[in-house]
Amino acid sequence: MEKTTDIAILGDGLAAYAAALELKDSGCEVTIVSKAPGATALSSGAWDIAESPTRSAQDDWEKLPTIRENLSEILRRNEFHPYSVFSKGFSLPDYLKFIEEHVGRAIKELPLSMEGSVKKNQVVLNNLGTVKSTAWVQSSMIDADLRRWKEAKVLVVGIHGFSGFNSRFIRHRLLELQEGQSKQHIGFVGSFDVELPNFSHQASLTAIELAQRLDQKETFVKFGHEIVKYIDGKIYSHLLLPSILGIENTMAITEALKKITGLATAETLATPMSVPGYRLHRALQKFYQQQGLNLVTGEVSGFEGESRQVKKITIQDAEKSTQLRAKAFLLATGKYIGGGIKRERVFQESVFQLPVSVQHKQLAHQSPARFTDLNSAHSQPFLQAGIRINSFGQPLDTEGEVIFDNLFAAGSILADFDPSHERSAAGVSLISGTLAARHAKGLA
Amino acid sequence: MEFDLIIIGGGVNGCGIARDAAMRGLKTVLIEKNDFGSGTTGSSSQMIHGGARYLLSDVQTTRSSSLDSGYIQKIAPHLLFRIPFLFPVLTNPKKSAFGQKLYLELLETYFSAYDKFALLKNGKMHTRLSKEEALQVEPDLAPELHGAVTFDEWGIDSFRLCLLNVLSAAEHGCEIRNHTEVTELIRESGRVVGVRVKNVIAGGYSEIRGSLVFNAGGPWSAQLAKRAGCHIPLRPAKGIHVVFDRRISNYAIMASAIDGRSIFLMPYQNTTIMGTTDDDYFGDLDDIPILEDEIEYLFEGIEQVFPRVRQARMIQAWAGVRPTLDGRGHYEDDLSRDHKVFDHEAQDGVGGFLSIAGGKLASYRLMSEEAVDVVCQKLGKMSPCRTHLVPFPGGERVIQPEELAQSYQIPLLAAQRLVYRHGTHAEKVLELTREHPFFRNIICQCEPTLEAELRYAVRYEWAKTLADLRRRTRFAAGPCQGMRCLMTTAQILGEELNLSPREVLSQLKEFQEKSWEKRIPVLDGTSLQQEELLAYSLYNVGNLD
Repeated sequence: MEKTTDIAILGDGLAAYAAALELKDSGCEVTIVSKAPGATALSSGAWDIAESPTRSAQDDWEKLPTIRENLSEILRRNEFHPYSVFSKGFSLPDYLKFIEEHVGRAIKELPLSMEGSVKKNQVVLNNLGTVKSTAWVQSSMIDADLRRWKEAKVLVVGIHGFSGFNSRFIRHRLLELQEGQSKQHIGFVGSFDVELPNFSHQASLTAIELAQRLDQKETFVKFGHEIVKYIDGKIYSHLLLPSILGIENTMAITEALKKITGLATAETLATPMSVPGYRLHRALQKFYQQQGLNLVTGEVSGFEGESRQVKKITIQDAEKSTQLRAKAFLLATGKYIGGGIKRERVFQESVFQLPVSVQHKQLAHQSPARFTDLNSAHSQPFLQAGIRINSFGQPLDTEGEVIFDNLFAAGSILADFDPSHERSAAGVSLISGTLAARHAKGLA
Repeated sequence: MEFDLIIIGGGVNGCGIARDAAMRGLKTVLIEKNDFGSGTTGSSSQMIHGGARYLLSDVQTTRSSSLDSGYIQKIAPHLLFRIPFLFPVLTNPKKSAFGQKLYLELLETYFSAYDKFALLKNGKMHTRLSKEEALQVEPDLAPELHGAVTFDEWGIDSFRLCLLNVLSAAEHGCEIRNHTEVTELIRESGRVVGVRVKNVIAGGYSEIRGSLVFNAGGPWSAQLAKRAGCHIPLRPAKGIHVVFDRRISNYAIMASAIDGRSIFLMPYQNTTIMGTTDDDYFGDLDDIPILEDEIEYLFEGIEQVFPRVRQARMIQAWAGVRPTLDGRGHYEDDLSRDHKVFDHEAQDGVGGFLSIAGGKLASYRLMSEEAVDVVCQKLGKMSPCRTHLVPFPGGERVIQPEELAQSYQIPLLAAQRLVYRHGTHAEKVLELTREHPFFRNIICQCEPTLEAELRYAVRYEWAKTLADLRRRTRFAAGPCQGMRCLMTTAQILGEELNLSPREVLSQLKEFQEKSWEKRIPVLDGTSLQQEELLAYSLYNVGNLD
């Protein structure tokens, strides 16, 4: 089958979403090529914009720098960072304003309720009992922002048979977190585990199973009353839960639990595979459908190019093969998780065989010692590896020359930032997606 | 308190000696600076094999290995598993049809000779397969196949083997001290009379005194002996293994490396291992590097007969150093796997001090027996060895996992794995779920490992760190390398040991650091996706850096 479109977006994650949003009222016909849920679906579902490269979420939360300060620090320290590359042509104040406006727009248009700020990071508790600073979280988590707590009397509730959230551990950990804070955020903490209705004595439950079950009104109401039984006259102000509050009805569940228990109710952030990440993935899919975008599913198996122009790509889905012609192509296929970049004895970008580099040095068949740091907690060179681009988002070769005039790249596939360690991935995806699409639009 | 025997080193020899000595009524203490099997033993090829490769050079080693393999099967029936091996012979265009046939004949003659020992180790006789037959049982063999010969060996989980010896030793009164490092050999008037030790985890020093100190330090033994002015002639040799995420062949497959050495690819538990190299090693014994070259050396050899190995996903590599006895002027691979008990009184004039070196995993029990014979003689407390007759704890009989699965409502696979590791004691592990039904939670889904087993390992098997738990239960040893279960397991460990959350998190970091080193050499293909996800989980969301 052969199809033609104005702009083809390869990938359906956050960078693709920003691009689709940018192209929304442009009159361009947009086609999204979607392979499988990627890093966005596996994420915690929170949106990071920028954190100081000299980390501080465990420090005094009162003294955390603003997102503007963090962004300025990144721009100052790393000229290869995608934020730096795309800042060309902007004055610093204009650029910071641009980022705030466009993240704000992306939040507004997203069919999922999020809360947070483009100015200041939240300090949100996760299921490991540590805190992460992040700009926006799903609304069901905003009350897990510890910075907002004032002598909170916290009740941590776990679920019997679900080992992904240890309420006793979180209880002890909250008290440790209070140490080193200048303000008294945490008053006292209690914890217990309940059995979810209809799951009696079942072990090895997963977060997704629990969320599906809680989506039913009867279940979440029962769940709320179960918690009330345990509260038993004790005075609490906050209720902390694992992130299992439904897939469809999260806000209704959160509100109902607030009402039933009378407590500020919040899910904690969760490590992959998380329910909130899945919610975010579904919200993006919903947006693409609402916008009436063309969707082609399958894996890009090849392309045809001619004198610095990509003409068409081939998409393979089981037996079905589709040829897609477009005026411009936007590569938002992610890093290793998404499959945008791979190493099979040699590093390579998966669709157009673009060179993979870090700090403008190409990574090809180097031995692991060359692209790893022995300290696993350090940002890893192979996790910073990606596609080098110019300020239009066009991929560059090792000499710094544009490879295809109508090819653009955005999101985690970009070189010189590490989405696994630094907390800027959503911001980078949104800004690079927006700007790459803006330049692609000119060709359509 | 005075011991009869202080054993330094919790590898298979130290653990074996501890069991034997304790069973003979000696007052014994076993000291290990890290954990049981965490050195050479755990980095071995995980085989209690008959030693087919020593058939021509050292038939006595083959005989004794085969005999002992038979004993170990009787005392630990749950822990040994049969590994059918395939020795593929490729068509060699340089050889005539007759030459080709002759080679296969010779190979068959070789394995016919090995068949003589099969009875001792309860093995199967060799068979000869035509090309078609070989491809039928192992479809991914190279198409240039001419034929194949089969034989079989026995595999074992060497960590559990150490632990069985430790459990049995403890039952017979031996004091067990892992994570305890010997910092000094205490010497009085020319004799070693005890050791000064450091508690590696809690800190603090203490002294342990005894009539005899036995150095079973494996590759570390020469350094230790030197501190007492004694000499052990070692020629340490490094060997690496690569682990793949699943079983990728039906048979274990033999191949020739580029230099003609025999190497293998072997299904092991729920993974596959590829090994091994044999190179002189002069570096740091506590930090053995794995080079991409060494991995490539193995791939190059295996892919000649099993090309698909290149598509398999590596999940980690491990390296160990064999305490081979000195053999100056020979190639590493030609060195004897013979072993020796050193009496430093006779040899170096230092009383109260013995060492053991050399040998191989398969002969550990025999070596331990010899060692304890010398000990008994020295102490003048003669008593016969019974380690080949008395079953290990859990090895008294074979139990059926189906019944356990049903009675405790756990998945059959989980029950099977539990029975594999614990034998009849699987029931004791599952008893913990009677009081706490949610100890049935599967924590590591790759293995799978139940919460009850993790807690049991801390309570009854001296597990004190996450790495200890991995060695005992294989949690985080599978494809996801702990991405999904590390935190939960750390929290469980913390509850059992009464650790603060801060200590739990630092345990987690330490484990990740150590296991990361084992994954760096194999970062390729889909492992990078797993690594990106793990880093995201621990550092981006978890903020553990």
